[in-house]
Amino acid sequence: MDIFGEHPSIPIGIAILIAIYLGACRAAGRKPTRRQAMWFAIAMGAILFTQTELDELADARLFSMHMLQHLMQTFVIPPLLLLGTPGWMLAPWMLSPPIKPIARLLTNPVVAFLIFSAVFVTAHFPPVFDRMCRDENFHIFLHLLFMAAGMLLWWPILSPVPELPRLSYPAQILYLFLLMIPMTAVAAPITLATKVIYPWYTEGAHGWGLTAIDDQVLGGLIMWIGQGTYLMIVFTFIFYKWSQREDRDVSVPPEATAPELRVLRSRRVAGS
Amino acid sequence: MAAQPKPLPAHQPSYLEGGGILGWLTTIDHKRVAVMYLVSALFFLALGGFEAMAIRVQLWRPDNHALSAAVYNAFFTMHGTTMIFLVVMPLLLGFFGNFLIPLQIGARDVAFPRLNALSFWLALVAGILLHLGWIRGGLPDAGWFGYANLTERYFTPGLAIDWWAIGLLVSGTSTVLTGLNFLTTIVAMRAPGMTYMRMPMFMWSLMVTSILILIAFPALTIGLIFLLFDRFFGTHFYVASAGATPILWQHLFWLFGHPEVYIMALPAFGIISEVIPTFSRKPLFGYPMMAYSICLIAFLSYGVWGHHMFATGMGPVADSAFAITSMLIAIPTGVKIFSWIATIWGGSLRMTTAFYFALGMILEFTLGGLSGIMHASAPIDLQQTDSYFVVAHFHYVLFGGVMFTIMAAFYYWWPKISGRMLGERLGKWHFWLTVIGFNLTFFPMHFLGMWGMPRRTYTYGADMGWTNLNQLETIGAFILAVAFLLFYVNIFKSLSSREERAPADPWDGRSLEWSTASPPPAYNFATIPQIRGRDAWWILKYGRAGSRGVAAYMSGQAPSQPQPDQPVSVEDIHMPAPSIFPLVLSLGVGVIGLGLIIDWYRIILIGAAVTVLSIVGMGFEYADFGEQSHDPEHAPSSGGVDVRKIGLWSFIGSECVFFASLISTFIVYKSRSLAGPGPKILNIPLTSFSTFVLLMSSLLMVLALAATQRGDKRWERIWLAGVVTFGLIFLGGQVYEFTSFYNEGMGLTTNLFSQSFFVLVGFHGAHVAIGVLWLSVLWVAAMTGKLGKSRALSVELAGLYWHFVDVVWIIIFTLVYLMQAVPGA
Amino acid sequence: MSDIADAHDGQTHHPGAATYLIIAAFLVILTAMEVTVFYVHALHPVLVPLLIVLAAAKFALVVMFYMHLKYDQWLLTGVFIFPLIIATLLLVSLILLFAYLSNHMAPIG
Repeated sequence: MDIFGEHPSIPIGIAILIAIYLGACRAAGRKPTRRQAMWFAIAMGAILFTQTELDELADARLFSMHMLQHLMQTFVIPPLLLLGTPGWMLAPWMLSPPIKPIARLLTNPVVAFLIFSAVFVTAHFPPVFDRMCRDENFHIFLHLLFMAAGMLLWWPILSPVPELPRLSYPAQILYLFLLMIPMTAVAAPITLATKVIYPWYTEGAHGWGLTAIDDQVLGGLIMWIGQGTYLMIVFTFIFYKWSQREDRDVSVPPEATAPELRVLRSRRVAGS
Repeated sequence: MAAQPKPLPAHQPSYLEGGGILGWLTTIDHKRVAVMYLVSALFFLALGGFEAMAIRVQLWRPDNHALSAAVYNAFFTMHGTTMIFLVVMPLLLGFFGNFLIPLQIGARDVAFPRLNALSFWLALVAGILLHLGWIRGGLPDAGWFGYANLTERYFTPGLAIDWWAIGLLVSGTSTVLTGLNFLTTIVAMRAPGMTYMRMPMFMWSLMVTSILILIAFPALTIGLIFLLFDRFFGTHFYVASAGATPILWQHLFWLFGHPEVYIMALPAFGIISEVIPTFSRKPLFGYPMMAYSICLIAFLSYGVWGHHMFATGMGPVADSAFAITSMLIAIPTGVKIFSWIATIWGGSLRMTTAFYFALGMILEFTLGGLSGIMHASAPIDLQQTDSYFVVAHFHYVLFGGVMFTIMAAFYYWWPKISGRMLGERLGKWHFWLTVIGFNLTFFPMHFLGMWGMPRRTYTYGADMGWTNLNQLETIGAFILAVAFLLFYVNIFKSLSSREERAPADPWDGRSLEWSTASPPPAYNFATIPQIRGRDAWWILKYGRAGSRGVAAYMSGQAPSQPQPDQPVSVEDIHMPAPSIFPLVLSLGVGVIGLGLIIDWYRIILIGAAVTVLSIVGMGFEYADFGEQSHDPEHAPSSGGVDVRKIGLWSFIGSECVFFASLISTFIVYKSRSLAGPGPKILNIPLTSFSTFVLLMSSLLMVLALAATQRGDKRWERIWLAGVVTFGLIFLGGQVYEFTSFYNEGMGLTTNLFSQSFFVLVGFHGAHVAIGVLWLSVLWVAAMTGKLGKSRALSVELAGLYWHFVDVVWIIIFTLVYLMQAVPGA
Repeated sequence: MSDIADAHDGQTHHPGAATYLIIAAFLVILTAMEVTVFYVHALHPVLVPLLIVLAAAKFALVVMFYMHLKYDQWLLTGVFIFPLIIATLLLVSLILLFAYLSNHMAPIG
């Protein structure tokens, strides 16, 4: 694997990210927890893998690997980055006066969801997608956009900044559940299509000896089933966290009515 | 709780006492409604059992003619329909669900007690309608799945299918009402401190089942409505010669039908998860895992309907997708089985009859689950479909899984329900005969299926080599019949025995129902208990340590005397007043159905009049009850939302699926017409105007609500009048549109496009009309000064419905009108 | 989410007439855009996605503001959104299944 080969932007970008991370630690005079550092390292590894190994396969006209790459960029890397970034690293600038209202708007679950869905659906629209395959700069731009939109998407689940809070656990499940609509809207037509949708894939030989149409079905299935299974696993984690919290032995103060208790609880989620 | 505690009367009158016949007919007490469900279900169980025995007698020897082919068809159809809609669901939901939901969550009744009574009476009317074919027109005979186009009038003339379709429609309505009632109750009425993660597992399963009901039954409703349109008005929704496809029925039916399997299985899982911890004296193993797997099963069950249709040729991709989801569902199911086993492991077991049946269920259901995984694989399923292997499979699931559970539940909760124990000795006989009879009847079916014996054929040839196993099965069926007889005897004996009443807590139970008397008083709990953890009653008895493991109990720690009810004063408890309207309303609905079928319009008119009058009557009763349910003490876990709002939102959620089914049918059919006009006929300028009118009516609606909320009576009247007017303008536009289509030669039955268009847009129009009526009533109330600030919720509810109708129109306007040039599927 | 905590105090703060009028204006504009899209031929290649986005926007506006889901407890949102998701998936999958069927079925008649 020649990481500096065709795309020097990848190692440079990763190096810049690491530099920023370390610089922020130094500036704040704090260290991330061991766990956060680990998640960050995994995130960097995931980016490296996605943009080198997977990218080469995708460039070999393997649509399925290209879809896997998109899934990594939207569903795997952003949550890893959010897990790996301590809140104190982001809070100072995200909560600074000019940025805070924008951050608040963008990380609102409805807005974040709509932005992500719009980006994801538009990018798989045939004319856009085909241009992406032919224009390397546009391709890089879209991949960065995927990761940025993915950060927004996962913010209400994994926000490290309490002032831009997470959703309550059941709402998180519902939120990710809703994601099945745009994902299915993209994946299902690709999977069930009887013709090759994106012309670029018919213009050359495929890796692994796949035909263009088989490759497309495989890509659609990776996006449909892969995404569904992934979300199912995430649901499981969220449900467990919810059940742990609800099971905590909080004895009921005699006068407390349910609504008051709920406020207490939703604050606790926001602060955790 | 500031009131001075007064001592309870020494004898608390049970819910069963007093009232006479009229008291039962007008009751809205969830426990009495449950008992009425029980009586009707036990009757239908005997009837369905008789049909099963007749089937087995007919199959005793080859070339038998004890039953004619026609009667055989009617019997297997009615056996399936009866057992599913009139026995298993009423027993699990109507009987055990109704009885136990308020008792297990610490409430005095369900959220909507009158609706609950209405559900029962509608279910009874449905049962009667399904069986009126005995008297006139013959019994339904197209299978419980009623595959189109066998059910079309061309292939099945006569009244039989009409009885079936209308009976199921009424039954479905009753079930949906039950679903939204249960969901609202469990969400909103849990006692203080009972978080979701502290609910008994039975409550989890019923909550999820209710959601499944709400999203599954609309698909059946739509399928039946299309069928009735085909039979009564000559449309061609399932007629291949008109370009339609009978496969549409299969999709709609199994979209309902597979979740329906879990509507029956999930409550059973919940019951087993109650019985096993009690008799193992251990908390349920992996509680969150159990709750989560229930949710997962419910969700997946909505994506597996295609595995009933592998033989219809859906294509390799769809087949694979359905196969994968069907196999996935085995994972959460397996989790449950292992959790039960882990709960039993190391427990201090008490081998009661209830526990026997629970153990039996685990074994037999696992067998059914294993053959289920085989069906999930499309190539294997193609070999097995429509053979006796399938019959074996679903009887292992529904009898082995569900009926065993029902029996366990009977032995477990009967003391609470009746105040008397069921005989354990007789119970053991009942259990062993059931196990032997059941396996003898259904296990050989696996082999017969593999040898090629098709299901649903009324006889077979002597040269097929199926005779011996069939005779074995018939013997098994008779043993099973004896077992059921013992069960009925046991119930009869326990009710007529003069022995002492059952204690409040005969099994050393874990959940709240065991904290109140057996049988419970009408108000369930003198004071609403405060919940401090899972297994609420166990914690009250033994403290928190007891719930964490069996160790505390086994170490000989003496149980402290529990103080369940620190009574305030029973006289302070106000229960909602009884009502005759649920009964009258259901009779009205039944009469409408009857009139439709025997085609006698005067009867329809009488039925409609009774129905409308009783709805109005209920509306006048409502005021009192509405206030009561608004009292936060009655809905402690609602977060301050009125239960009626939760109920209405669940109904709206259910309507989403209703309209989605209608819209997808339209899109599928719109360009499949063989002749006649197509979507280009639709008039965009007119409907753009209609859309504008409806949007503006929504604006007036929120303004009316705002006026009501700030107590502005003048503008409240003006805005409400505006909404009604705009609604009427919209309806006028629709009438004009329909008339002009008719004049251009496009009637209901012209082609596939016209029929799916008229049914879709017509149903939306009907919703608008109901909204207009509702709002007119509110407007009259406003004019007579009865509305005002304190009734703002009534305006809000009507508004929510009205906006929903508006939202549906937004979708219809886009998908039907503006996308007219887009070809359909 | 701050407004979740707010909504849980049992009081629902409904917006005033001004908000309602602004929403109504948006709804009318969106409808006008929809009808325009229908009549402008140049837009027909992207007719379906455009119309779906516009309709979804109208849907969301009515549900969030007129039906107060933005202000009410998320419990009500959950009770509504879950069936809505199922309904949408049902719509999509039925259309795709039948599209496959008609692509692979001998023409009738």
